[in-house]
Amino acid sequence: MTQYAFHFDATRCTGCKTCEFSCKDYKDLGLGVAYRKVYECAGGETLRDADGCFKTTCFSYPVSISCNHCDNPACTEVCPTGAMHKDEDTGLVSVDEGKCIGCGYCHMACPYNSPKVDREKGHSVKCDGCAERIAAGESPVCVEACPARALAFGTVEDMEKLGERANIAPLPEASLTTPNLFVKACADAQPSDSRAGKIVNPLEVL
Amino acid sequence: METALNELPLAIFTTLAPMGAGAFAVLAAAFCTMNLDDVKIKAIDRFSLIPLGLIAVGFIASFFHLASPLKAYGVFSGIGHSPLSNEIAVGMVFFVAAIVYVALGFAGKLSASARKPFALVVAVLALVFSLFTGLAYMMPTIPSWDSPLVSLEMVGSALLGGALLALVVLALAKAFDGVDGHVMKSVAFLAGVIGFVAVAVALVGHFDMLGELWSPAVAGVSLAEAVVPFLWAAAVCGVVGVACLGVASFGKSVLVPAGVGAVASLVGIFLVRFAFYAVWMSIGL
Repeated sequence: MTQYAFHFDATRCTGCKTCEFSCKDYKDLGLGVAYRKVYECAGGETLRDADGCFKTTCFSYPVSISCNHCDNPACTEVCPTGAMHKDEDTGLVSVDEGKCIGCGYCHMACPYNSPKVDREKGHSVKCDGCAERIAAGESPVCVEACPARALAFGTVEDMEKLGERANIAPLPEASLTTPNLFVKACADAQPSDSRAGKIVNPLEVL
Repeated sequence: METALNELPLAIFTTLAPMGAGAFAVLAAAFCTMNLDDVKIKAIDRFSLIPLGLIAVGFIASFFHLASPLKAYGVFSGIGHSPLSNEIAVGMVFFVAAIVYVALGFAGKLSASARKPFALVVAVLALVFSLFTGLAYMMPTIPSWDSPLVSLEMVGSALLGGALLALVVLALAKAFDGVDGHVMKSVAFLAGVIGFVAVAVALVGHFDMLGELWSPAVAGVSLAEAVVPFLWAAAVCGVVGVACLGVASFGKSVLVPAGVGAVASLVGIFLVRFAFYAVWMSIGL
């Protein structure tokens, strides 16, 4: 099996959200549904010391996240019908629309906020890694659209050379589901277990 | 609070089904402790349709949270690995056993020697179902639910609501008329009080645990604060339920206090369940 993975270069990402909207355009997603989202993680404070000097610990950085096609996906573990499944050839996690009952268990369990129940369609929806584009030898549309080349996609062996496995805030500890996302951290990036930052655009992404 | 509104059908399911199941668990004690004639047994079977109906309404409500309920039969393919599949499978085994038990009783096909063990089997299945309903929410990626206290809450709710509902069934069937039912009433009282204490202990522990939780998206303490009014209202309902249980168990009248207590406990359990869904919190995003 070839396990595919994403790479996110936080030193390049400007938070422009082209990845998110190219995906919405390509997948023809309506209002309220996005398979890739850009989380803005920010924190810190600015203080004036006894000498009157201002010092700041403020930080802010964007993190672009879709499904990470984990090695141990929480969504497939809890799925009661087996609709949420991991492809044996590519390792990509996708929904079997014929089996999915839309119970929302995958949505609740996924720590990356990836699957979502589309009640109109009657099943869960999520990033499938643009499986048809991969089969045709192309990259996922989000990767191709990124103007800063902050996203990459390839085999896990190639992606893990570019960064560490999903270890920056606001992402949870990678040991939970072993996500196939490798990150090159930017200077502001906080570690996963840090409580220094929080998501400051919740209405946009949660 | 948005999660709680989205999961309203599940809040109804997890209120009604375990409460109905709890009634079957407590009713089994009636056949073990009371000397009941055929007329009373038939009446108990007839009024057992009340808890059976509650369970049925609960299961029907659960379908409303599915986007494709017509494909619901597929949940059985996840038995063994999906907590939801395990819950529904155990629930179906219990529900079918309860239906067969009541149907055989209705048809007069349940002999005195077969009734007691069958009632006890249904009682055990009822408690196992309540336990599995709680276990369905234990997931390491949802730290606000990932606790055995959730199962304790569920079994406790089943016992408190079930004890009151069982007394209603027995009172409607006039099972206590001319019969010494003090042992049965004591069993029901004990089950209800144990249930109330279990729910209280579990809730205190659970919401204390919430205060420690944090994610970049939300702090557990803010989730807990939002549901405090629901929990206070549930506590009042629970106290009313236990008080009514005491009056029904040791007073002269059974039906009215047990009925009032059953309604109060049903409302209380629903408020607890609503609060439970409102505190959903992912470990990550």
